[in-house]
Amino acid sequence: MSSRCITAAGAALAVAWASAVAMAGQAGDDDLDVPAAPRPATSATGASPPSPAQLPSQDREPSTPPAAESPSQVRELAELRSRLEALEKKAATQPDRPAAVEQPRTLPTTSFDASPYSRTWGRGLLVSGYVQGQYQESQLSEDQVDPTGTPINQNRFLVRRARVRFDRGWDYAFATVEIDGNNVNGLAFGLRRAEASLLWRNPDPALPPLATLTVGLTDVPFGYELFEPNRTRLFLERSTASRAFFPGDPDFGARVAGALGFVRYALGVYDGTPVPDSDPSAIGFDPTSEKDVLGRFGVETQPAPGLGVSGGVSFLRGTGFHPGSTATKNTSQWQDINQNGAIDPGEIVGLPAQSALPSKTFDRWLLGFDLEARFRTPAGRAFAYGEIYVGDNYDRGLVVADPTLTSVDVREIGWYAALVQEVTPYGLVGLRVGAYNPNADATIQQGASLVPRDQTITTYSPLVGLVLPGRTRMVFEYDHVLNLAGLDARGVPTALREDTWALRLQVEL
Amino acid sequence: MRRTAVRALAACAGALAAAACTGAQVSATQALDEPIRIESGQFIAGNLPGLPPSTSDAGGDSGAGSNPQVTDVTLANTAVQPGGAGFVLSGHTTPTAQAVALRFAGLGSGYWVVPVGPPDPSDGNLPTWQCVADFGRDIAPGFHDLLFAAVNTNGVSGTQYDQPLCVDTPVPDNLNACAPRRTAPAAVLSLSWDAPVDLDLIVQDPSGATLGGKIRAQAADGGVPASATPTATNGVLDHDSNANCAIDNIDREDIVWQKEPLHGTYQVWVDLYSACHQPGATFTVSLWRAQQGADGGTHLAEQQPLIAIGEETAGQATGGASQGLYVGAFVLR
Repeated sequence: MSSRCITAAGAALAVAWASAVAMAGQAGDDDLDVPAAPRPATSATGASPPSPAQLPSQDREPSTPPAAESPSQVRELAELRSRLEALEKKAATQPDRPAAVEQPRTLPTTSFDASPYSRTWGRGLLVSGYVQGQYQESQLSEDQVDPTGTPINQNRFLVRRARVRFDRGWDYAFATVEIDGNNVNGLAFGLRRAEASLLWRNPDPALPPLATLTVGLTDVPFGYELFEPNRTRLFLERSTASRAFFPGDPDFGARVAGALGFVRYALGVYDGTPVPDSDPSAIGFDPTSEKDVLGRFGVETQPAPGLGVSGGVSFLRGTGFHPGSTATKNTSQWQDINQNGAIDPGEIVGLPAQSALPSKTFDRWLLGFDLEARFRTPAGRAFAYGEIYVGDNYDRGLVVADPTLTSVDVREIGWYAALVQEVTPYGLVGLRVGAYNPNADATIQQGASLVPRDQTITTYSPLVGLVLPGRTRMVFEYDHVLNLAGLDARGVPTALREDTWALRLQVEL
Repeated sequence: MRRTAVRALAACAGALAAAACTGAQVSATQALDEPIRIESGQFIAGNLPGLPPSTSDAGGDSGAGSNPQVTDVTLANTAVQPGGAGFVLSGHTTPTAQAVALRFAGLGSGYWVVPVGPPDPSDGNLPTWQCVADFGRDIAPGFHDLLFAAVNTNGVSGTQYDQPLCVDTPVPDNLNACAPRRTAPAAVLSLSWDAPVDLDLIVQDPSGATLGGKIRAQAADGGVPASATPTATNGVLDHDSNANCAIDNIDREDIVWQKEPLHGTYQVWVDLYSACHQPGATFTVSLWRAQQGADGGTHLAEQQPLIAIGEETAGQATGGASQGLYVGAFVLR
């Protein structure tokens, strides 16, 4: 992204900010506390007390005795008195200040409840959270350590997510802070969401805002699965492709999003350094001055009663980073050429000092299409959805793309399709099938020939679950993984045994 | 409703069953328990494919037998150290081969597969292959048959190729286990342990001289520093493993007597110089003596019972302030 683009994005944010401030000014002090007791009247200067002439007539001293009241005046006076008493009684029951929580609410807990792009932003303070505890097993597990000394065992208990979230909504502003704790790679706590937002609310409070400007550590509006909260997703984790492109859910940046009728739009500028749950210490530093620009344009419709259809097109363009290295000093190295375990003549070589290598950047992009349908069957609510991704040098989490060495761009392709079905309000079944190819142009040497190699990782994920609506769900998911990274006896690529299963209990705070 | 629920569960089970029927899978294990490990190779449990090699093929060009097969194996040395790494193996196969499989005969639980590479124009355009092998530490000393099989695209394998490989003893023996003409040392006192700590072996011989301990740097004039421990002339410490916590993964130190040592009583200490951030280590001290073997030659053999088996915890680290833990004595006659 060029500096002009950055400047334009900054100007757009400034304009959005100015518009929001102007709207807030027109609407008066909507975001200010209004004391229940009336303020003392002041003059135009606000300095001198009011003169008797300025006071209402009922506050003046009577200069003449009252005339005799007619029966109609008596009735009217009694009526006014009773109305006044009713108003005073009502006022006595009101709190000293306007209620902050105008819309007591809870956040959606499952994918059935709502689309994340049709989220309503309530007013007032909301404290929420959830805990995901699970036991998992994997065929990759061994009682060994990898070359870095990290245990390979994956058969273990896990606090996958323990989150506390604070939301505070005003008429034109909104703030969110979310904290996470987990032991994916050792016990870790970190910030998962820190959003400062300006809103232009829809007159109908049941509808999402017309426009929002959000800055901070926030969700990335790309496709469906990434933007859906971890709290509501019924499958345990995002699909392989989504995790490869976005190793973490939130990112540092700013976005403008909203709903205009059935249209949902989102445009954002991000650092391009997603925050992974498992490695919170690796976040927060964008190695490039260029930012990732992304957006999604979609629709949310209800073509028939009980049927909701939504979808969108997402795009992303950013800059990748290949770190350089520092200069080296002269060293020597022993090469045991005859492999006899002893130092023989000619086996010690000198490695001369090398100058520092500069860092490099490279372009990358990603395109996505998503489609969702919520409908009812005799068994209960159902949700079918899927996405397709096409990327270029955009794998940041699985087989990290870096074309600077080969000068050949790496093309990635991924997709998934999922169906989840309620079985009564207390049961759940589902299946997700997904595939991801981290390098569509990979090759392998077979005999004298260099032949294309299919590196597609295909995952079948059936799940069953028990649900206490709005409170708890227990989900068992089995991931049957076909990763063609192994070799069979003929030297032909074949699938490794990488199946995993997990039993997760999620309880709302 | 109940019928619908049953249908939904049945559909889910069917989907899982269909997913499970997606072909054979191979393990992603590192196979660190195997006696031989091939870097970037695929481990497959089971017997090596192909026909057993004829005895006349051992160690030479096959030239006969059924194809596909490995035609030759190139290696820099036919003797390897237990625990050795980075051992390069290469060779050629007959033209139809697509992969090469290899394992030790009678050792381990499976074999390794590596794809063949480009043809070699200098050798009749035969396909080439190459791999890098690491070896386990627990392989019995002596010769072992390393078997190779070539596999074609149909999974068919011909006659195996036998390359004898000698695995040396874990203690220094002048390569006597692989080359009996070489004379083995008269005695070796060996200390081995199970964690990356800096452990030192110290022995006091019958003359009162102390052997082993921390190897110290030379003095500025090239001479022995004043603080150096006086040593007897015959026994030599082979190396200082994990010295100053520079972890080498050898975890073994030996005092070697090339000639017959003094007879008498030897006192043994084990000094935990530094725990290197480990909670401790379990160690074994054993004596190896040259004695006549079944083949009539003289080879090193571990003496029973062992001199000591013990444990040192991080709190016992001395930093060289003392000789450490006294673990016992042995008598040479």
